[in-house]
Amino acid sequence: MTKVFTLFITIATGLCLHPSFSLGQEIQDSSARKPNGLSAVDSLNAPSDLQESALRGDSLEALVGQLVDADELPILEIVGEESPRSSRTVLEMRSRISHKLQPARGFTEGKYYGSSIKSYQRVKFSQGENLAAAILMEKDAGESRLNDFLSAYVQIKNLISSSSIVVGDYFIEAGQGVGLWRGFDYQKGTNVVLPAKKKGRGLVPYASSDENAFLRGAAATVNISNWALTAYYSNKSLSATVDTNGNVTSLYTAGYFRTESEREKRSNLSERLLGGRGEYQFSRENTAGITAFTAQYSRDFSLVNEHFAGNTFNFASADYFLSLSRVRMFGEWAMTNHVVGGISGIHLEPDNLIDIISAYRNYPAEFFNPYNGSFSERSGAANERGFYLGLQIRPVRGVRFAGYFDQFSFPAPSQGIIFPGAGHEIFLQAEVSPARRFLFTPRYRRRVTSESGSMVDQAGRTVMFDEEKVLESFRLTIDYRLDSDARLRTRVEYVDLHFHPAMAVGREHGILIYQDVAVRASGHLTLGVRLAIFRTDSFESGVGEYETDLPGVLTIPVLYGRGVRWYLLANYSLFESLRLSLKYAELIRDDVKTIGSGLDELPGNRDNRISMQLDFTL
Amino acid sequence: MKSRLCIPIFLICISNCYGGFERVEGGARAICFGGAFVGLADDGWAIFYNPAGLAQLRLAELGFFYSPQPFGLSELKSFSLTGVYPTSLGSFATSVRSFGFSLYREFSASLAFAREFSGICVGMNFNYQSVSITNYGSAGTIGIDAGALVLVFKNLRWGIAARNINAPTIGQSAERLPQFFASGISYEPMDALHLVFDYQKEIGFAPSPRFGFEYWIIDEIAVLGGVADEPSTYAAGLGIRYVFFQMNYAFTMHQTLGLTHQASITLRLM
Repeated sequence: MTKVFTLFITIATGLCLHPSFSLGQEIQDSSARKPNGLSAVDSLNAPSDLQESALRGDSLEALVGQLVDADELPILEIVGEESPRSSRTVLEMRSRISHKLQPARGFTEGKYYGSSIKSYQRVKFSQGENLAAAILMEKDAGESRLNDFLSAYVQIKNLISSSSIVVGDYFIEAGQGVGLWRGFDYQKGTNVVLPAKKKGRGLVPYASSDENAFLRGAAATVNISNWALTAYYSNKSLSATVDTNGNVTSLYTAGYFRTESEREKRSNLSERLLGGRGEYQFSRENTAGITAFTAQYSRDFSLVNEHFAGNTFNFASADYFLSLSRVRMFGEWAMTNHVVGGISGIHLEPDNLIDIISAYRNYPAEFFNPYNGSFSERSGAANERGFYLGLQIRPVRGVRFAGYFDQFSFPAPSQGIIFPGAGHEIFLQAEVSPARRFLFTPRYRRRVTSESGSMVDQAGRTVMFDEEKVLESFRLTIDYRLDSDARLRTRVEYVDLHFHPAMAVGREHGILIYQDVAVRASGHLTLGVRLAIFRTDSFESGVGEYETDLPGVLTIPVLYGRGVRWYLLANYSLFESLRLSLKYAELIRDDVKTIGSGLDELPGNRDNRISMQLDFTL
Repeated sequence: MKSRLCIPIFLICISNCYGGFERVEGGARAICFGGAFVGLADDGWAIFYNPAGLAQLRLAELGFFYSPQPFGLSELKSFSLTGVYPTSLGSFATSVRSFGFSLYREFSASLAFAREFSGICVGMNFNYQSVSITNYGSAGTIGIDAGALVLVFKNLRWGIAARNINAPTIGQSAERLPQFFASGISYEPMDALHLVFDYQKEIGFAPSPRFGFEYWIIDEIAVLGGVADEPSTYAAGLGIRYVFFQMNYAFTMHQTLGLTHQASITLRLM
């Protein structure tokens, strides 16, 4: 039977205010986070926000991929791994709107068709364990309709034997995600195991705001003996940039349809996908599976960045997850577009306090698959080869250490990368809790990448170069719990960026300091405030700031330039079933007269946003 | 043909810095650790990393190491032999090592002694190193290595080591041999698991942090892994032991130069 793991993420007021929460407990609980399978992030619509950040050009993390950093899990509350459905009827409604107070140029010049309100409306319904349904309507700022993006599903379970049928939107988590996975996942970070080792949940209904990473049609899983057999069909409209011949040169995944040119791309490509998956469970921890599908598009592809042409691609893979004593072995290898690629790894758990994980991945340049979600340095998992080694250990009570090393290379040149590239990353973090109220978290990250480009020298000649880029980040976070109702967090992060040899930029620095205060003002009201001060030489040396937001939202702006950002976040529970959340955020840049560029440019050096959300459960 | 063209370039790069003897490493087990062996040094291959570790040995050892094609180039092949004999005075050890091919060959032979004083192991290694280049002749010199190792806690060891501390030179042009300084710890959270971390510095180059682990899944089989920066290297391998016999296999992936396979056999004499 397909297991349903659910990660409920509640972001209270900048810091988690769960009554039983304590800093000492936070460290102790880290082993409880070790995955019996990877947690899902059903209720987290992070991709939308990450995408948005990426499009604004203000999120380095998002540019790497739509990923959730497990670093920040201490401020997220993991309630449970499996969601036993209540036998009663449950209706959940979530209504969220947000608004930027300064009108962007696209609005003042009349280029955007719709209002500046961003809207998210979702209703979920379940009756007992066997029936569930949801509908989501979403509108981005500048879009004209409340249902600019519409997503819905109906799920019926156990209609025939042990089965699950989904009609509408869904995604499939299979193997290690080489073939099919949800649209976003954990990135490399404090939890060294989660990103590299996956345990898929199989067929999962979908109603979230990412406008790309799902399938639309119908799917069914039937469990027969030790077999879980899944068949799926999807017929979905996509958006793409096409050339004069009508061929697709790139997929348009931003999800914005605010202007004439953006609307021209809308639904100009259709995809029909048909496939199946069989998974055999030898025992609770030992499985093997095969996944296969074929996808056909209404236009020919002539992608610039990927090595793929034509209008059809076929995918087939075999995956395994084997457990032998305290050793787990996992992997998935696939053939698509006439090449073979995949990932294999080993996870050692000498005891409950230690995890060691190592993985090898190899994705050829021709490895095209838009539904790939496997472990990789860059999104898309193509043209990449890498070795990963991670360790997390609690040597003594109150101390936790995590570190990883990742060596990667991009063997083939691609768009914007003239030469094959390579790099590696080192991450070290300690969590030390000398007293129950204190938690010190120093972190060091060093990332070495190669970047190629071209420049014109003094003689007017075009010179191609390939240079090493080294980004070092030093971070210290101090958490202090005043009492059960109040917490403080202070963070200082310093970024040092340098190039070898210094062809164009030389050396840059950036620093971010922020202070969080979170209090439970009453039994119904929690408040959180953050003040962040930053100064960086450029966007390249910008510092990512993981922000708490309304429940279900994760915002990761990269602060760069010189300025201040602050926000106030409030949660008020009117009744047990009704919760109101409010966030007001402001960004003030000292070093510019306007923020942003193009149609997103704001008239001054301030960016204010107000967001409200109502959660209602019946 | 391609590989033969590459060799002179590679050697020139080395020669520009030092008079050879750059890749002095032995024992596939230590290589699996990413070369982080200074803080552990608990087998005969310690003679290459931290001679003080030889004082930890209670049984005589014989070891053989072979790396047939580093980075795919048979011209860079190396092999080495070690022998350790513990006595009541301390541990005596010897090793020989050969690197290169007919046109360029390095050879070294060493004698080492290590002893424990009040819980602190100290050791020294006298290493005769010679190089011969066809049509250019040969030259040799003696380098001195030294190290110390201390058991800080029951499961934590700390070691320091230096190679060529006498700053030897070689040949008529008096080219310096490389000097290394390293500090490392090994942590044993449980009997079956070793975690090691080294911080190594070669004069003239950026410091190189290294990390490795060894986990005995069962008494006879271990998996090992390690990483190093400067240069970026990933290593992994297997260990098999049975009574007096131990075999290790390691592969390393150098970020730029590529893959290398190596293996070693160690015999422990009762």
